[in-house]
Amino acid sequence: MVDVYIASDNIISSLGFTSSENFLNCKEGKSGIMLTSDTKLSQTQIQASYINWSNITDAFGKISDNTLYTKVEKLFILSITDALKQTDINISDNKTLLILSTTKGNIELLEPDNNINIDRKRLKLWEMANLIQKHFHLVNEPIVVSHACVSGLSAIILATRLIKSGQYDNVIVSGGDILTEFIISGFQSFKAISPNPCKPFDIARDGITLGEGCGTVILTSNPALIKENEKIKVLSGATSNDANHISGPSRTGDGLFYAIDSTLKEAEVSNANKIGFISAHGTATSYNDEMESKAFTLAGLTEIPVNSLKGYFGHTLGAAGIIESIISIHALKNDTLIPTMGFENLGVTEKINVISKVEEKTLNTCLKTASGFGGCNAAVYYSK
Amino acid sequence: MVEKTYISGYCIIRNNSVLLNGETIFTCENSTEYNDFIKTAFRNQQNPYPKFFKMDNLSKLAFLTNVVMLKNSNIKEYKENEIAIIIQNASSSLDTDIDYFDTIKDKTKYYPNPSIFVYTLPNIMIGEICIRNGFKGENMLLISQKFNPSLLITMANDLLNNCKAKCCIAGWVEYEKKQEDKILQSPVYDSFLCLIQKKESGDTNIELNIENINKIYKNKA
Repeated sequence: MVDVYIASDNIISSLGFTSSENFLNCKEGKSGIMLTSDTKLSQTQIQASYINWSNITDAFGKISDNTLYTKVEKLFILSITDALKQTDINISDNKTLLILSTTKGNIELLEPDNNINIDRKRLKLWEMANLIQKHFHLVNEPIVVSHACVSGLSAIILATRLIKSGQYDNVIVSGGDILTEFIISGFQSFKAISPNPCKPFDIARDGITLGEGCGTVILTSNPALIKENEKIKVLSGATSNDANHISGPSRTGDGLFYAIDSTLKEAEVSNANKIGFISAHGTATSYNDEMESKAFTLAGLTEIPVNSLKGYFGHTLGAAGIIESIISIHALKNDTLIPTMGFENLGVTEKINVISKVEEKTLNTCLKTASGFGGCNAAVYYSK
Repeated sequence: MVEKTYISGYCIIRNNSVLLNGETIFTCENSTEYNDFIKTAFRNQQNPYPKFFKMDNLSKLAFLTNVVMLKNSNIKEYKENEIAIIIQNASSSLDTDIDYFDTIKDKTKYYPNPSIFVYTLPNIMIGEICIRNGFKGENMLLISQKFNPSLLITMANDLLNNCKAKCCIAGWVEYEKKQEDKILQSPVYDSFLCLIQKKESGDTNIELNIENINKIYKNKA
């Protein structure tokens, strides 16, 4: 049986341009969410988690020509470049694959005034992926996962399965989405955005906060590439559907429960209390957080410490599963529980154990979950 | 050793025709608009579901392909969480993305519509199939330039051989918008879904491999 290891990772977000910078900011209780009144993004002021784009332009200028790439393409390239720097993996052979995860990719190209020199063909996600592949001189045709808010976890699950099947030795998994008027107006039309920074699992929660970012994990079957005390494995993962409603989660949590159950069975977890912590989706909408509390209860996980990282990064859509996995992996490595920013008083029916302060504690495993439009759910289980 | 898996039925919708297991079961004249074709083809199935008519073009296509494909299948033998769906396409939800963008591009006529916005995610077509049938198993939506049978086979076999699913609905559902200013005058749509399982059951029982899936996808079986 092949084991799958995390060889290296990177996060680019409002909280920094490396994983360690992002992790440290979470640990210190800093949030990247702020009020903005950029009318290109929203007709009204909104709370959101923005990347510092002038820093991206500076950093990208050292690699390539800023005018030839879109915002999200720059994020993918910068994030993958940083992750590759930290590992000796040979990516030039046919045993390395690139998987991108995104919900809306280059959707900003629908606006005729944006990136006037860039070919509109790159609205097609496979065209965008081919461009990233060419930048890194990868041999294999890349795969794009576009599966709403579970895209990032689905991409990690797919990568893990393709390595376990022996088809690939290394998979670069990168997830990115940027804030656009398209996305913001859509969530506004659903009346899903909170006027304040989001408050996951809290009694006063009243909606999501959007964010932008990119996360990259490089997965490998070769443990020799990783330092002994830094080994983190992707043990298992699964996806599922609620079969309930295209824009609202299950009322019972059974869909997410199926994904968690399948994930823990695959990893042969006989005692759920051995799970160190859960990094939930925790969007801070009334229905999502309620559904998750029910799913965790169905899975017998009410005692396990659980966080949502949306209060730090906002909801970064196709990047969320990857960014939040990386923070969780660093939490494992550092034996540190990261609290749920914005949470004060439990506001879901089931009594789940929401982490409210930083705590140092021996941690061996963590469960990451996500759910999204279309009734989709995903879970991934990481271990030291 | 990896066990053999089989395609127990398949449906193709393209060129204003619906084919079940290689046989044309419904067709409209070439001049018929997609919208009229897909609605008439759905009514022809005698399987009323008013929500169908509210779906976007892509979801209608996937939904109808699945209805026809499962017609004579043994799908009812499986539990809700044993049924997986993997769909690939090239254009994601770009058809509806453009429609949604039309509702926000002019600030004097700004009316973002949640019932359009929700279809700006390609996996909604999988959600629609799951809701109608109560399927709660594995889901995956992938984007590639062309139908990639090799990846589909690897993924489906992986699910079936590792007890993640007992059957898998898999294929390619593509809908590209008609572009008024381009040579491409009519929408390009192409849909192919098949049912994969370990059992030899159903009408076709074709062994799952690249050669066979290519043959039936190209309708040259």
